[in-house]
Amino acid sequence: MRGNKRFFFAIIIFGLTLGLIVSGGCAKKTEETHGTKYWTCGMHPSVRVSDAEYKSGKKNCPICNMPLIPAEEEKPETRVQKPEEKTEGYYGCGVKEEGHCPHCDEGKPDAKCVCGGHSFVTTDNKMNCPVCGRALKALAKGDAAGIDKSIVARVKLNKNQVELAGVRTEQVVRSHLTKIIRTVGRIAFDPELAVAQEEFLIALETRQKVANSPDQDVIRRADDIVAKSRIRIRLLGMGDDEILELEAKGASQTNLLLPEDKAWVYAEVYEYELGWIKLGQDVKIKAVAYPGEEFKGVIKSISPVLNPNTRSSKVRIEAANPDKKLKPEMYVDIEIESMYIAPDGSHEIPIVPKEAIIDTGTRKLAYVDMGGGQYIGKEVSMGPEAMSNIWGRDTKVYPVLGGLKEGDIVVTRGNFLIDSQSQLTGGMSALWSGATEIKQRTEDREQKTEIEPVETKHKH
Amino acid sequence: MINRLISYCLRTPFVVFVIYGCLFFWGLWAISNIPVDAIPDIGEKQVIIYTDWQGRSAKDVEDQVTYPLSVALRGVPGVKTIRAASAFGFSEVYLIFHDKIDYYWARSRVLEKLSIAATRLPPGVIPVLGPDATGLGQVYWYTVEGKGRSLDELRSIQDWFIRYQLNSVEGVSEVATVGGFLRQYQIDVDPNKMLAHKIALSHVLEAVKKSNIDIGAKVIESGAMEYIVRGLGFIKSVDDIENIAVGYENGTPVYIKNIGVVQVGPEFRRGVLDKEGKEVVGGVVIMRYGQNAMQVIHRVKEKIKELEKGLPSDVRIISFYDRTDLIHRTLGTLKEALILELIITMAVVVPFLAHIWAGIAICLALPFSVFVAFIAMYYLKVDSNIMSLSGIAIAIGTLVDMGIIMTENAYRNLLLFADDIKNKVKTRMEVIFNAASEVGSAVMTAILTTVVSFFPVFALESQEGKLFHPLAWTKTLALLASVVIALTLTPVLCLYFVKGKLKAPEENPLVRKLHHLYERILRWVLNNRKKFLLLPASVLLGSLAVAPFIGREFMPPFDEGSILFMPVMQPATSLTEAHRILQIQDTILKTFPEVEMVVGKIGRAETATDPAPIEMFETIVTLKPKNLWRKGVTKDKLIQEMNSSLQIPGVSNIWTQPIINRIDMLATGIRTSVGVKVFGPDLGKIQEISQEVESVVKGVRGATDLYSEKILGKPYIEFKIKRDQIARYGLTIADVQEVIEMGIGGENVTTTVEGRERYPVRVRYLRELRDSPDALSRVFVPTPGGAQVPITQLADIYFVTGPAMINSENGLLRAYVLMNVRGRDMVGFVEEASKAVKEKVKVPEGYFLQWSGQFENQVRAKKKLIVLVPISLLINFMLIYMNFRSIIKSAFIFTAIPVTLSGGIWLLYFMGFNFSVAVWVGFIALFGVAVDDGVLITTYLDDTFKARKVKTRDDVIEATVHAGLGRIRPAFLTTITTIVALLPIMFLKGTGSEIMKPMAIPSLGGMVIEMITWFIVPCLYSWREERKLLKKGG
Repeated sequence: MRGNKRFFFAIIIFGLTLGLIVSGGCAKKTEETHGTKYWTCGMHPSVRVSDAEYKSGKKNCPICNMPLIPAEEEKPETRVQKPEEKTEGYYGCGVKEEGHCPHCDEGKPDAKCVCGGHSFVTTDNKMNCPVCGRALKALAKGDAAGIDKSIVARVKLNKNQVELAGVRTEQVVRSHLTKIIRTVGRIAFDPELAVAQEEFLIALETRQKVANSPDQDVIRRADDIVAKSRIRIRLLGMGDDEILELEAKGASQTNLLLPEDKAWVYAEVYEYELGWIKLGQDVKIKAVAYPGEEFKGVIKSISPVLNPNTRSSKVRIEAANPDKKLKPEMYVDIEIESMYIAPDGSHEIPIVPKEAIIDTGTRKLAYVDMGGGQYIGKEVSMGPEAMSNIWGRDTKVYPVLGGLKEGDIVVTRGNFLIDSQSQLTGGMSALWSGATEIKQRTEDREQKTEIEPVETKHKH
Repeated sequence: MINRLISYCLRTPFVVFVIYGCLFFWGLWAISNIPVDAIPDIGEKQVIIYTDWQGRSAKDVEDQVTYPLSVALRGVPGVKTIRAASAFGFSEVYLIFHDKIDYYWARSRVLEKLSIAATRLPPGVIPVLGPDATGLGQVYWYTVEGKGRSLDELRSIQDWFIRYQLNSVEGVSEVATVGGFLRQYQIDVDPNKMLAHKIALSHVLEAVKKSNIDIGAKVIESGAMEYIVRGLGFIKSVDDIENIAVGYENGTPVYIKNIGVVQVGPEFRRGVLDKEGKEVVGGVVIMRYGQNAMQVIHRVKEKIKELEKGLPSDVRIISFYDRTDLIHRTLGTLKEALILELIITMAVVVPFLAHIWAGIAICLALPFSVFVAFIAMYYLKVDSNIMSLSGIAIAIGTLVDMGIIMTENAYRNLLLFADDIKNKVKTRMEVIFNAASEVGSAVMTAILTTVVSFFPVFALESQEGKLFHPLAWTKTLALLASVVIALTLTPVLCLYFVKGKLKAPEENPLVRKLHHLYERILRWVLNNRKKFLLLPASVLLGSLAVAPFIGREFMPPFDEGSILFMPVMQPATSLTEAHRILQIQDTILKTFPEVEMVVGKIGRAETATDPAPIEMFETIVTLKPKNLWRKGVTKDKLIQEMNSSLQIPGVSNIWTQPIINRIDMLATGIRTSVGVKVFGPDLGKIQEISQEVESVVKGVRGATDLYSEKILGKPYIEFKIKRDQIARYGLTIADVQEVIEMGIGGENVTTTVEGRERYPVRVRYLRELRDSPDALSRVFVPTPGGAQVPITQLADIYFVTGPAMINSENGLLRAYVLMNVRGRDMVGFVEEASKAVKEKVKVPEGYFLQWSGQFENQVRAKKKLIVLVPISLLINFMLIYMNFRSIIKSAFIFTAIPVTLSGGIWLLYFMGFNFSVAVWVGFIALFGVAVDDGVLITTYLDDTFKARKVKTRDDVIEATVHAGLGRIRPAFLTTITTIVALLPIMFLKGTGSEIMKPMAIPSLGGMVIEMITWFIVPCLYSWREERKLLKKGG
């Protein structure tokens, strides 16, 4: 009986004390959640570990196992709708990290560092900071000053990630740029021009004949006829040089009518491509009749007027015509190789491979490899797409007009992934209830028992 | 009536045996024919309308298909809400019906409306009903493999042979193809040559269309015979197409081969299937709604065996996801649980009765209860799955109770009247009849209380209702069956089984020990009532204190045993880049020694039940059996390892499971606990508002996993046609659009008919003329004047960022802001957050916000339970009151409820489980049995006090002890069987155990504590008697 009594008392006391401890603990816990400090992962801003949890041993990111970094709970920023004067119209998250910046490894251990990636600069305040996911706020004048405005993103990858993304890079070099303009043409059968040439030549002859005529009126009329027929052949497509040649030669171009050693090719070049065409450019000609065979030609003249129906201009090309293969009225494909000249007039310009550019619609981005797994996304301004024989092969490239400089190492493969990484949002798995459960469960597990690393034999 | 039933059964045992014999076979038949699946279908009742509009952007699809459809479909009877999604190339409209509506009825109503709605769509766009299947329907995935065969060959075999054959299998709703290349005749025209020949694109389309016809010309009679006349003109080969004339110049025909190239190539595709880094062709079998997954898969496999004989010898059909594995595992776990429970129950019952045959008589009732439950399930259309079978599993402890009470009483009476039987004063039958009718009504009451108290579960709605209704049905049915069996079969069995040497309880050492112990404690209790009552009080108080510490969740996660790796990339991802990443991932996953097979899918299988965009991969990782795993590796650890080796930048790794993910994919509602729906007419503005909402809610305490849906993010190239310019050339918008659509996008002009196979013929510009934004500007538009004008002169070309997928609800555009709530009450959170949003987010006219999410379910479930549980308890109380006709006595018995509740809470706390609906269902189950022992003991206390003249306090104590001892054996047995029957569940490790455990815990903890009621009830009862005595005396 005695033993029983003691036993029951023990149970009662145990029950009561447990209840008390537990309710006391409850009060403490709610207090803790009001604390402002928490820990997060540089790679996964969605990870939030409370200070208490951190102290109890949860020091690594549950997703990537990187050491967690401290962060302050921020009250939601009220957005500044219009940039005030002091702000220069730039927005950033404005986080200043003490010491070494965990995101870009910049800064000295005891200096205050404004990390460029964090003080993400944009003129658009509709998005969140790509590094820490905070809402952006207007930057003060000083803060925005030291930052390269063309930098729109900073991404840091570890070695494994670089490998997995299959990142490939290429250096920005100076080079010549060419562009191939494809168009169609036909072998000229142009009696009208031939006749006009004859008329012009006759007019010239007449002019010569009347050169010594005392009657100034006759001379003037002959001059008039020459000038008018000159205009006529010019309107029919002949260039000035060509006309001089014609004058010198004194014979009309009979190959406008029948095949000869040289053939005339009339090509149509569209208005928007006319800028690429220059006199004397080499031209490749392919005839439907002779597949695989290539004829060479030179641009002799560009018609001074545009055909209003087709918005194109006639380009006259003189082509070699071995064995008189090219017959009048034959259809031909034409490739005009043209050199790109930069707005400043230089022929050699820095170029980037086409793959290096991500065109988001609103802007064009290139990622520059800074070494050590750091990548900087830069806004680039570019000329038109062109070809360049560089890196040992014909490559589609863009001429760089701004944003990148010679010697920059740009990412040509995996850049889409790097760009995506900079835009990743943490709460993606919130869409999938099934998935969150797994995540939560693994987190729970981690809280209870530290997972010992399992020997992995697999190789990547 | 009960007595008449018992006596009839006892007198005609043959009839009883025949009936039960029939029941046995009927039950077996029901078990093998009942629809089986792993988990109940918790998705909403939805009908999908799928509309394919190839090559069109989400914007076009939304404006021209989805919106007109969802507006036209309003007013279909029984529809709760209409949600819709427009994506690149297709539209899906989901009509969510009320749960009570019959599925096929709903479908035919939709079809009715659809015939009118379809007239509002652009010509040639045909909406179709999705398969009559739900997210659970994708039961079997396979690949078609053949060494050295090209992907288009395999695809043809899958498309034209395997697919249709499998689709004919009974119970299969649809077989969809995924991956590979669909063969296509491609006419790639060169705009330069067309310009040279002065041929417009529309000529080519027209010419091709008109060159692919077979006709019939009736018959001619010649002689006595008739001949059928046919005109042959179907395209059969590349040659046929090349020689189609598209025009002529001065009598010289221009053939297609003159203006372009004709070749056989791959059709444009939105899905890729990859097996361990190698592209393959595959298919998915979608089961019809309400079918038996096991049987369907079995039939499919049989069909595949047949088919394989007809396939080329090197082509194989290899499965990579087979639901039967999961079902087998789940059922295996349950079978294990049921068998263990049976054995353990036997092992407990037999020593206490010290009579094996009596034990067998009790346990025989078990399978019959289960069989009867299954028969009823079959006819009530309750499917067999983890939930419904769990209902039986958690009821087993209670199912045997009735048998125990019956048999024990028969046993006791037979012993009591052994002499009478010997002297032939009474027959065995009479004795058993008396014994049975003695407890008959008590048994009825006990079962009724159990059944009634479980009724609130039936009132649960929507998702939780779908989960727990099957369970409530099976449990109730099994319990009702058990009482019928206890009244009909058990007495008969006792008649034949309880024979031979019957030991008095006192002779059984175990029972003696029990009696001894019980008596000692009871006497102490009766002498120290106040002190004793502190014990249950402290347990109760303590449990109230720990309750806030137990976490909360909606449902414990169900482990399907296989892994679905679902990485998500940015919406701008191209198919080629996505495939490159998928190959890297699959190759890495395959290197894990635990992995048997890895098959990854990019984009969609060609079915309405798979709306995945191409930036979303679904990789099914099939694992080897656990014994081949490395030491110390669990599934969780494995997933973590995989995750850390798959840190590809720009890819969000999501790890989930095939079934739950499929349900998620098709569930268009909010799947997180809280969500904000932003409605309005403009997508950009909606996105802006939702981002603002996100940043405001971020500051509210308790918000986690915050995610605002990104609507925009897909790059578009838009041709904005300049009306003044085209007017100059005498063109219309349609002329220009035709060129954009057909020249750049290409169009399937016609379909060849080649025996069983059909392939599209498409016309498009040469690849390099349209594969870059630059080249696009050189697309020619023919003018009525005969000139061909490049499109840049007619249209401005813009790069813009647009939507990847457009969601709408009831005809309004919609975006979600999703979040979970941790560490605080959800309703409070929603109130605070919505207030904060109202203050800080400016919502312009025409836009509005709506708070929704799973919390609604939980709140609703909570509200319902708050009303219904007390009502069921009240009914319970009334039942007890009707038995004793005393409120005070009934109240004594009812003390068991709070005490057992606290026991359940303590066990939850110690085992580290969370509160969830499953746990609450467990508690409800507990309340029904908690009072049983109290009823039993009170009945006997009443009898004893009536029989004895109680005069002094000692008399009271003696009477109480006598009564308690008289009933302690059955009370102990019923309680202990309930406990031990639940124990195996706690030790189970197999698939499905994670769902059963939370339901078992409250009962387990509660029933252990319930043993206190053996003392509480006598304690309080005797106290009252004592006070009555004192009053009388005083």
